[in-house]
Amino acid sequence: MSFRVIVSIVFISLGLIFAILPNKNNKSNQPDVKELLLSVCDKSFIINSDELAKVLISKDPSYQLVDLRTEKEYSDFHLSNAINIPFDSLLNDNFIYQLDNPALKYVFYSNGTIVSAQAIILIRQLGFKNNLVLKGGLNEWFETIINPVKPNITSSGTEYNLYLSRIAAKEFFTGSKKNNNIESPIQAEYNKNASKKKKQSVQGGCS
Amino acid sequence: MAPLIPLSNISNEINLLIAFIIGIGFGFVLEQAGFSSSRKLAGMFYGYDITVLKVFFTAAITAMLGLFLFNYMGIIDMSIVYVNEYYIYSAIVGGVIMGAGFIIGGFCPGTSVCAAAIGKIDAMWFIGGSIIGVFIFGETFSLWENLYKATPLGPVKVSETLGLSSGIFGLIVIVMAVVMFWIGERAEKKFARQDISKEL
Repeated sequence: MSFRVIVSIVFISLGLIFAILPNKNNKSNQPDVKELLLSVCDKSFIINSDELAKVLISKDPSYQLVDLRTEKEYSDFHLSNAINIPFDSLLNDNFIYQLDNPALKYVFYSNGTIVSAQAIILIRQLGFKNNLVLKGGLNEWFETIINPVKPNITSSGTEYNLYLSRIAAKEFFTGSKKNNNIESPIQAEYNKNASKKKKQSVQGGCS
Repeated sequence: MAPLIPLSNISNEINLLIAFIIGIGFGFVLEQAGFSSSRKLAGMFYGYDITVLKVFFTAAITAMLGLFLFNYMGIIDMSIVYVNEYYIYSAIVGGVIMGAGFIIGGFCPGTSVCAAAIGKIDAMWFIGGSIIGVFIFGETFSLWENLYKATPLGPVKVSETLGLSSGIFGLIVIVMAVVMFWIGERAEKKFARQDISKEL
């Protein structure tokens, strides 16, 4: 056989081999599983309620809240300026484009922490960065910011200051000033004892 | 050398040096295939010499098979390789201009540099003409801007438009190449010109 026939047969057989092989998708811009594990273990993706309250009070425009609950729960109550992406339709095309802005930090929240943690792992697998999870979700938000627990008398000054800042946040978000017990525990004890100190008539002595 | 060697792994200067060496290789291949002779290049148009078709089509299918192999082995990710955007109308007009220039001058831009490097005077005039053309285009660009940017289709691949997988489309291209070579050899015999010598 002449040279050109041999070359043609070689090319055609190589072409046949590649036509039969299945398509291979090398997703080179997805993060490695090991990288994902490291980024999850260092807990840098968690934001707790106090930090979120600061962000919301200062109206920081670089944060975007994402509510992962159902539409009904969202319409009953949602944090201000949160967008609603129900968790089971997270990967739909019309929702996923909303997470595309690299300049914003997206804070995922739901009622607890489980759903938002699952969402953030999925989103990070797709290559999106700048995602945060609200620790404890709305349940912890209500327990710390809306109904803060007053620290008892043996707690430190920093805990008391934290309580005061939570009271201030509560006033900002709910506008209510009732039941705000902002006396420090030491002050409360002093007032309690001070009321006992009535003027007593002098007894005994030389009368 | 991206995406084969990511840009962060080698410095910019090494990148340019590799490009220079590949360029020398390209010039060598063109010269040894005889493309510094305008007789061989114009022969493609008149039908008596189909060397251009054979060399370039063989290079294209070799590169295609190589990319399939690399994609399959995971060395290259074909989904992030850049595909040029397709502007239909401007591509047609540009093709007509390029074809007219090719047959009038007997060179295309790459082979003209190759021929000028071995001292052919007509290739040097060809290069001068192309530089003047580039200058005129640049100065009058505002007149051509609408034509230049007409009908953009984005980076489309023929296999995607036809709905075939890239492997099957590759096979079709290879079979097409072999058929065209065979037809071309018949044409060479039919349009043979004894008065044009085969020497370079």
